[in-house]
Amino acid sequence: MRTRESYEKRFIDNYPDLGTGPVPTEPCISSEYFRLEQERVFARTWLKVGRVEDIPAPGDYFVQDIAVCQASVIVVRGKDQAIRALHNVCRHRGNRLVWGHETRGKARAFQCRFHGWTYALNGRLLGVPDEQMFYELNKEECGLPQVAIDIWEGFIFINLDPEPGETLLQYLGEMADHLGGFPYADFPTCFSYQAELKANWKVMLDAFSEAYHALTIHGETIGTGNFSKENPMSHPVDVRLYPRHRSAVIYGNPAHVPGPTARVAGQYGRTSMERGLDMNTLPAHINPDRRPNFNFDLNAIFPNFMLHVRPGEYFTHQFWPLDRNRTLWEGRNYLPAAKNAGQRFSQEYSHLMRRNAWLEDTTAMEATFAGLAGGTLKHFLLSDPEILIRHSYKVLEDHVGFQREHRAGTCP
Amino acid sequence: MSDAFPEGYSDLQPLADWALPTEAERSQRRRDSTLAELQAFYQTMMPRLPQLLDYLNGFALDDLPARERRLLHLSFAFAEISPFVEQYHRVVLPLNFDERRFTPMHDDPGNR
Repeated sequence: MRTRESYEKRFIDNYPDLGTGPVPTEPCISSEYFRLEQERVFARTWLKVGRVEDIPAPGDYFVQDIAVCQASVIVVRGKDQAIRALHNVCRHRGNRLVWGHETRGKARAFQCRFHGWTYALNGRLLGVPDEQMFYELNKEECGLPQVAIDIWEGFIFINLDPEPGETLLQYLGEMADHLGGFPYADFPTCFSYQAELKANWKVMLDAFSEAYHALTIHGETIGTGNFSKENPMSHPVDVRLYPRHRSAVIYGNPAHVPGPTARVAGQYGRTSMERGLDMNTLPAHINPDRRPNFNFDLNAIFPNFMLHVRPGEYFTHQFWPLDRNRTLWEGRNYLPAAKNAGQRFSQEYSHLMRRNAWLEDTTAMEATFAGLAGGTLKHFLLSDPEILIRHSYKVLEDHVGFQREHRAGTCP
Repeated sequence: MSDAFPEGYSDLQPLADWALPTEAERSQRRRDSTLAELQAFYQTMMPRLPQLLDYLNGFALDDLPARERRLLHLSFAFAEISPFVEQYHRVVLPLNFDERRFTPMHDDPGNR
């Protein structure tokens, strides 16, 4: 039995192939790199777009724009209960089918606003006004183009590659084992935020991948919840790097004493500020030793999704690139359905406390990008507790091949 | 609103204009306040909070009568201002993102 935790171990010793050198900033600022990310990452990887609970009944749908690929996808539950993903484009002359305030709702069919072409929930073309004036129109062949879709643990993923090279489960790999079995369906209540940030999407991913900033950025909001005398810099308790994805256990101070309102909230429900929770509610492979210093399990699923779990809740981040210097961020807190007003109050307090920390994070992210954008800085200097960031750029470069090709171009 | 809240909660009447239905409105109200106003809200509400939640727990959450619903919204406003009184001692965070750019999607019931 471990009596005293070491917070001074170096995770690079487990992953020596990552190297310890400086990491180029170019992927965050280069237009060419952004173009290659579009082509080699976002156009051909599995991207999370929602939860099955978002569209519980036949006809329920939402639209997910993949702006970086100039794509828009309708995700809809059919009369047969199957969830499908359809390109949001009318087969007639390419008009967006669903747009404006209609991007989420319930439909019996989709009708194009331009000339009234009508499609069934499964994408089949149902009706064409003045159909007899078209030449050789075969409606059976003119359904909405289907997008590859797959579901894991209630998370809906799509892939813009018409023939993805691997299934979602193969794509998730070890991450599916690591995060599988968490009772996601038990947390149907979602408190979520959206903001458009003036930053490259990876600046946001990087900031949410380390706890090094907790002391400086979140000193007032999180306080002693994330550090203590034994771990004053909030080093990760554990780190696991997979071929594409990555995971860390974020430290929580078990001796943290919550403030007066947090104590009341804790009496009526469960909050994000609580430490030393009942770890036995977690699947066996998350915090396997049931350590009391576990705050949450941080997970980054390549390329743009983060899924963090802890007892009693999970929360996610997603980063949708709009341009190399603009990103749509979505932060979501998933909680149990409140059974009474006391629990609902606790949820309100809990997600607002996290929102307050996110307000600090987003401020810092824009400041980081503002600093990088001019290109003065060619490299990041990363510490061992920031190893997830190092891994992230390596995985991205494995897909993008920018530096590989550049070197090939300059060295005969 | 002479009786915004249920019987027995008339002492909270001066706080009635905090009982706003959406997070966007409640956070805007907080930003438009002075720290002294937040402190006054906190001092009135904090001692009443457990009793108020016990009282509301006697009702079905999704079927609260209008005055009880207002009381719940008041408790949400308290959750909004409380950390600014207890921890930050100001009405906005020092590293403050423009909160109007930070959209609570859950305020729109269509997005739940």
